[in-house]
Amino acid sequence: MSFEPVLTKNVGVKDSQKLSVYVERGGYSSLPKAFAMKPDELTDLVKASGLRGRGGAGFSAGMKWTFLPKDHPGPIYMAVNFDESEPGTFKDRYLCDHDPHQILEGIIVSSYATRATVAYIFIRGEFHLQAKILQKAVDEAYEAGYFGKNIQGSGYDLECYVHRGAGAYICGEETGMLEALEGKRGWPRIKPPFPAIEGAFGKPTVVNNVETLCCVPHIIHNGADWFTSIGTEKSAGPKLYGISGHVNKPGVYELPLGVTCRDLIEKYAGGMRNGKKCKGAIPGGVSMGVLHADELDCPLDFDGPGQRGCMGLGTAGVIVMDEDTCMVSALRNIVHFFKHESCGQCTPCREGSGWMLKTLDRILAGEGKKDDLDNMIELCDAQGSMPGKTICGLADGTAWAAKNFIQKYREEFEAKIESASAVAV
Amino acid sequence: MAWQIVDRLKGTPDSADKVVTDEMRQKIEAEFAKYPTKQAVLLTSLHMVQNKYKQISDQAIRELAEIHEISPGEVLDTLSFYDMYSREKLGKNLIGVCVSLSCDICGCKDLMKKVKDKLNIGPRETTEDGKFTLIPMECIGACEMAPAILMNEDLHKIESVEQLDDLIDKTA
Ligand SMILES: Cc1cc2nc3c(=O)[nH]c(=O)nc-3n(C[C@H](O)[C@H](O)[C@H](O)COP(=O)(O)O)c2cc1C
Ligand code: SF4
Ligand code: FES
Repeated sequence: MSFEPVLTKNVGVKDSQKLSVYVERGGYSSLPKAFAMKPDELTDLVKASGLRGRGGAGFSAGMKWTFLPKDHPGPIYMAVNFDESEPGTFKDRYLCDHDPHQILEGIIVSSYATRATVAYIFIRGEFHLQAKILQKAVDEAYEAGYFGKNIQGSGYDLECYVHRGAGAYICGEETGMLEALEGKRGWPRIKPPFPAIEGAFGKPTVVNNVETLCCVPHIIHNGADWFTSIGTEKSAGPKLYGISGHVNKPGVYELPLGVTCRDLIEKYAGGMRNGKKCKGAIPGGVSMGVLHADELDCPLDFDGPGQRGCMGLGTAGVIVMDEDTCMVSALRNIVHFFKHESCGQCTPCREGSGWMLKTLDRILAGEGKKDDLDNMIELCDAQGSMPGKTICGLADGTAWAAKNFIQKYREEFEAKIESASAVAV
Repeated sequence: MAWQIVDRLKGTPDSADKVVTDEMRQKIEAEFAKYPTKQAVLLTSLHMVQNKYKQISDQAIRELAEIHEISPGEVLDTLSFYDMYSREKLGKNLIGVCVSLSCDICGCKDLMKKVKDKLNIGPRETTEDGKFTLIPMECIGACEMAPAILMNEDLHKIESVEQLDDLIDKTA
């Protein structure tokens, strides 16, 4: 069965950012259908579709919505996660560049389903152009009566505001984002309480990724069965894959969930640059670890990367590295990122990333020691939050990436250390 | 402790040389309606000040504290967390070079070197004429353009160091 693009169907259409063009192509037509349903019915529909979060964690969207308190007097907030700062990820930017109204339509129907009355779109500060595109789209949508009071005569009120971040990866973590929304430093909060119970300004808050929300109008239109018919059993729907690094055609490709990493590289991204061989690929943002060249047949669905030692699919931002890439330097780059972006609240994260960076710099400078690798692995075990050692998942990203690289390319790391000790003698 | 900084800040909220102009103040106050607290607008206000003055001065902290009805310590607490705000004055133009993984393996180090050779500035340094500051940045969400640059507000895919050379000349 051939796959027709869903989320990217307006890409390449002239003036696709304009409301008139969007509406001409069927945009905003999920609204009457949604308003004809009760919010809970809509939530059930999204639950039945199997839609899982596209922001990195892959949690069921419909399920998350049911965690909101029943009969809350309000306000309930919708916080749209457009922080997109995970290295290798640029899919939400692509959606905004080409089809900002699709994002807004997703926000309206999802806010209706969750009874939210104010939606904040949290966009990373560096996306200057995208903030302008989005603001323009929001203004247009207000004018056409898609936001504000009594939307399209439905009796439903929703305000929508664009909120710019200011350069901090950690504001992509949902509670870091809520702090930034409140005008504070983006320090993740200790959970529970989860945002659904106590989120922005102490009120129940739905946090969803841009791409997740973009799927919702299509589910309303085509039904849950249609959505589950795309992709794999546990990973339903279309997915935007971002691919970058040493490939001929880096970019965003919309495909059913479950395409293999090899097909993504060979069939879609034009193969390896300069006829080189692939040495490894990050499956979905640098937090997720790395797939070895032997593991490229991995399906890029929510389970595939996890079955190969990675943390998961993450953001599906794939970074491809060719045979000439030094894996020690690649890991150093990743650890540098996490050291810079650690918010500093938890000692294992703040200090651990610093120690790891120092060790890697030492190895790269030719002064590595034999037990460096084992020490780093031990540090990783002490760092992850999965067993509950840190406030948020950033530390897991550091630890997972480091462990994966060292385990999957151990010989290369050892050779680097040994060549160093040979010189030192 | 953040609240102890008050004594060390220069400037007063009602100083003669205000940095938050009336026009800025109006814009800030118009934003208040969107949120249940005034503090929520702080990031927006800081962007305005940073854009106009290329820094957040003591005086600005004082004034913003007053406008947002929070303490100067709270303003400092927020602003010091974010990479886009600077207490030191930055150059008129910001050359943001992405140094994260995709850009690293696609040659961002050559771009850093080019800037160093051409303008004689290293990371977070500003040219003597105040025209450029070099800012190494973590992934700017444009990895398909690697090595990517954020020149002020615009993303660019840089295919050669000559292209960067031209871009800098055009921006100057
Ligand atoms: C360190 C860290 C950074 C994150 N960055 C982002 C991000 O940039 N964008 C995003 O949508 N989710 C990000 N997340 C995931 C969010 O916490 C949250 O799970 C997500 O926005 C929920 O939306 P979804 O269920 O629709 O995916 C990040 C998580 C962590 C731990
Ligand atoms: S794990 Fe790291 S980033 Fe997350 S809250 Fe702790 S210190 Fe901050
Ligand atoms: S790694 Fe440079 S833009 Fe993403």
